[in-house]
Amino acid sequence: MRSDRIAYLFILPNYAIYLAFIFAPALAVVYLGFTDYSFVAAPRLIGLQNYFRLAADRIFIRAVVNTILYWIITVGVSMAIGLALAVLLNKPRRGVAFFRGTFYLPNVLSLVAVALMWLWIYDPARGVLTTLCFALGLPASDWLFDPRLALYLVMVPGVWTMLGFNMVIYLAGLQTISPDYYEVAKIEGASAVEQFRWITLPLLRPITFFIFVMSSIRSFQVFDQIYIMTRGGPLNTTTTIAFEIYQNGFQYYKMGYASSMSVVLLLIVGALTLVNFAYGREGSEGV
Amino acid sequence: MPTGMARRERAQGVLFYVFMGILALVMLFPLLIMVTTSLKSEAEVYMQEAFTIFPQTWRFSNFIETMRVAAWGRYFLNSVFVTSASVVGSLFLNALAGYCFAVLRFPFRNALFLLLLVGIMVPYQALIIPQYLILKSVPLFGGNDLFGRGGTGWLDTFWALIIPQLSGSFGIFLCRQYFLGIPRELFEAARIDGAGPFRVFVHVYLPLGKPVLASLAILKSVAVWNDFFYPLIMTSSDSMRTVQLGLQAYRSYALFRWDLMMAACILVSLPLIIAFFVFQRNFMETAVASGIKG
Amino acid sequence: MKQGKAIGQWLGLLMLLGAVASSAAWAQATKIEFWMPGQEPTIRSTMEGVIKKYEAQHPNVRINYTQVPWEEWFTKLTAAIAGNLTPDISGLGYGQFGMLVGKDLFAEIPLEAADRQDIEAWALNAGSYRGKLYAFLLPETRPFAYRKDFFVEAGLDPNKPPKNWDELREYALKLVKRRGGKVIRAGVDIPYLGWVEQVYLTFYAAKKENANLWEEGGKPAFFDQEGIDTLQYLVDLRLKHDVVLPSDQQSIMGTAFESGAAAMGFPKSQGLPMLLASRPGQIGFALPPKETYSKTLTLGTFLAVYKNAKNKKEALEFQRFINSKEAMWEIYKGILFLPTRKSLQERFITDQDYNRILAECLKNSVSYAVNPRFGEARKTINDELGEAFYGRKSPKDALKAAYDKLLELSQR
Repeated sequence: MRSDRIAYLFILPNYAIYLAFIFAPALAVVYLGFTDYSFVAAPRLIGLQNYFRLAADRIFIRAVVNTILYWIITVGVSMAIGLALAVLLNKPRRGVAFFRGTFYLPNVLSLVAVALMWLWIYDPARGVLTTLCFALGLPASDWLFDPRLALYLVMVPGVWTMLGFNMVIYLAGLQTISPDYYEVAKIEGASAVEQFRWITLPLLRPITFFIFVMSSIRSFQVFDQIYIMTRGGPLNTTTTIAFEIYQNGFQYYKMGYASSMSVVLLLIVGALTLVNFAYGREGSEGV
Repeated sequence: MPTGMARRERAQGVLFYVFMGILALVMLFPLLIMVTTSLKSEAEVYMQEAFTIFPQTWRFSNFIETMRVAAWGRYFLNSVFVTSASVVGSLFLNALAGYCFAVLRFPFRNALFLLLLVGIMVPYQALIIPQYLILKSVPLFGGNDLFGRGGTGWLDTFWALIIPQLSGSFGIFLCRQYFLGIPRELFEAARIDGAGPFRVFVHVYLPLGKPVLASLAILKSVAVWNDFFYPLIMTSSDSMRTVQLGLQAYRSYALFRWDLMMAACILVSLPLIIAFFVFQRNFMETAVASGIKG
Repeated sequence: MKQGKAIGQWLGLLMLLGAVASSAAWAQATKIEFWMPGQEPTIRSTMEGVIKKYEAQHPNVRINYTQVPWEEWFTKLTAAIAGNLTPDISGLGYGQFGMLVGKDLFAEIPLEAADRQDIEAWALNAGSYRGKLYAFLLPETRPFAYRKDFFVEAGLDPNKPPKNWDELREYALKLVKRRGGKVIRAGVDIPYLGWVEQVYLTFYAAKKENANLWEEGGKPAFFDQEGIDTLQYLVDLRLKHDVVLPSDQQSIMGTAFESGAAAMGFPKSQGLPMLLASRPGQIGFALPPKETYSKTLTLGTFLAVYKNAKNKKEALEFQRFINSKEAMWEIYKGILFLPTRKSLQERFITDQDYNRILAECLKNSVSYAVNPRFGEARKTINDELGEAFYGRKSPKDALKAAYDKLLELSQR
């Protein structure tokens, strides 16, 4: 097998850009995490001080908790609903394409537009939800201004935009499962639920892991909704790691500290990705 | 067919459509609000005691008025240019790289591929300042000398918005997965016939890769078109702004024009929505086929 | 090898072109980079008018104007500072100035004696640090305003706004509207989310002389009996009397009063014309209700020249021009930053009927002192005050916590 060294030339443009604009900055961020850089003067190394401070920073810890909650719920719900919709819409019925398009549509909108839309819906005095509550005689809440609810309300736009995307990928996956499996199962007397559990789910495993990793990475980086809808409030109940990075870097000018937060985020996401690649290798061609 | 079964099937069919219909309505409800708000008059949106669904007067003029608030023509042009250039460029480069990692053999192949994964994991807010500094220091551009000092490099130019987009770890990853699923015999056969690696790529893998390329095209278009934070930092002139930045123009001292803002949001999303409906079948039938092959 | 030669030729050509270009620049006019925050088109048109006048008087100067919406402003400027690409002269957020002035970023303003006499002392003080002047203030203030139509509806005299805190509370109780147990129209707009320290400061200053959140430099100065009583009064408006709505000062949708969801409030002076145009004859103005004093929050945008500006001399000259009588009046008419010159006061008061009140407000204003850690400090106070507003901490505990944290912050 001769080796095709010309491949180096082919990947060069990609790699050059990647190294210059992604990898090098990533290294710079790791470096800055060990400094007290605040933009005006040159960075000064301060060892692990930033990390010690992070461990005691109640707002950051809150942000980590919020981010994890956000991740679990949005990814879980959007994957579950996405799968359910995919199963329902996998039939060759008329109008199925229309429904598929409808559910996917939110994914195409800009997050800025989506956040604004939901901000309007959540307006405590005159928004849709409040008006609906009045009409139904239910007690209306302050929605985004209620510290107990805000985080969950902010998750809604996230799920809303993600579930169509998940549905579409699941659909593609479902279509590669040979109908023979189901035929055999039906003959053997398996119910629809049993078919789902023993045929569909296992065969979808590689897709599930793929969606899980991609959605997870996206949800860990959630920023736009928070920035537009709540700015981390009320009382820091909706702040996330990405938002704290922005706050500390661009509002407090504490870039060194913000960089150390970025490293923490990178480690969490990295660990998640590695675990998934190892786990999800079953049934797939190795990396 | 026994009538009992036919009737039950028909009942199931009706149930299906009703259920899906309700679900679709719930799903689209926020969009409906967006559209109706964009058609309301300012007084209605804003000074109402409570929320109403349909506008009393249908103000299609809002769409025209919203365009006057900022240099939207320019913003659209910018977004279209940046998005198309990014998509075309990255599609080609990513497919080529994916092909290399999947099919060709060369030393350190696996290590080089794994290194790319870092790109998928990193949060963009963190990278933005180092990226800004690097873009500022591109030699011989924007008034910079050979060492990249003295000027503004690629900042506030289309280079800054396009070039970094061309390398996509995610795109390379997807293409590689997809090409791994193509039987190696095709590659062998073509090589035996005397074709060089590049020709094999162009004549064998690119055509076969249409599904994954279509998917990537849509994903990339959406990502670049909707990108807000990156153009925010890398551009400063009004003439370089993209469409997402334009949405920021509606905040005012006293009154927030929801009606104009919603109209603008719709206009900003429209190109992608149209593109989506045009390429829908392509995307959804074969979406991320590579993901399936795992 | 052929390729190497070609590359060498291209590089040579590029360098030649570069040399030619830079020598051409030599002969060109002096360029000044000028950035302003804000997104209103009136800012651009007004500034461009001022720029045109200046360029006419100084034919060898060209000013490159960039306007950046507030949403992006802080990110933008931070990136510029990091990359040493700051403009020659720019606007600055009120607190932002405080954060940056201590980092030796700005050029000292050589103020002529005549100007020192003419410009109001409080405006000069705001832009000073350690006794030196670094920026001119383009002020905006927040008078007390109320909806005359809501007053009439509630049986109150539309020409008699509340004069003190007790009346404010009584009126608010009469003006509030509820539905389903929820306030849908606030009696008075107290934005208790987002930037609540601004409201707190306004009321605190009404109780205590020379009140401030912190001294110049950041040492906290609000933990005393007056501070606690102020917070108690405000918190009661929400928790005890239930006359306020959830409202965020910096919300993208504007405050409750501005959007018609409150009967009384403290709107920004820059938004008044638009507000009045949308509700002709329905808005009344007054000085803020008096407790011991009557103080108005006055913030605004600063204008400073950067110390490492490429063309510092010309930039300082331009800055002086912006602050001159003619330009200041134009800026007032176009962007509604209030004039700070004594010589313009008469003209200002006769320009609009509510300007008389605005002028009074300016004379009795309170604002933030310079704080190098403004961003973090104000968020900390904001969070603690929020705890009090949500009933999670007593006003005393909230203020104590804020005080401790700010003290630690100022000493870092």
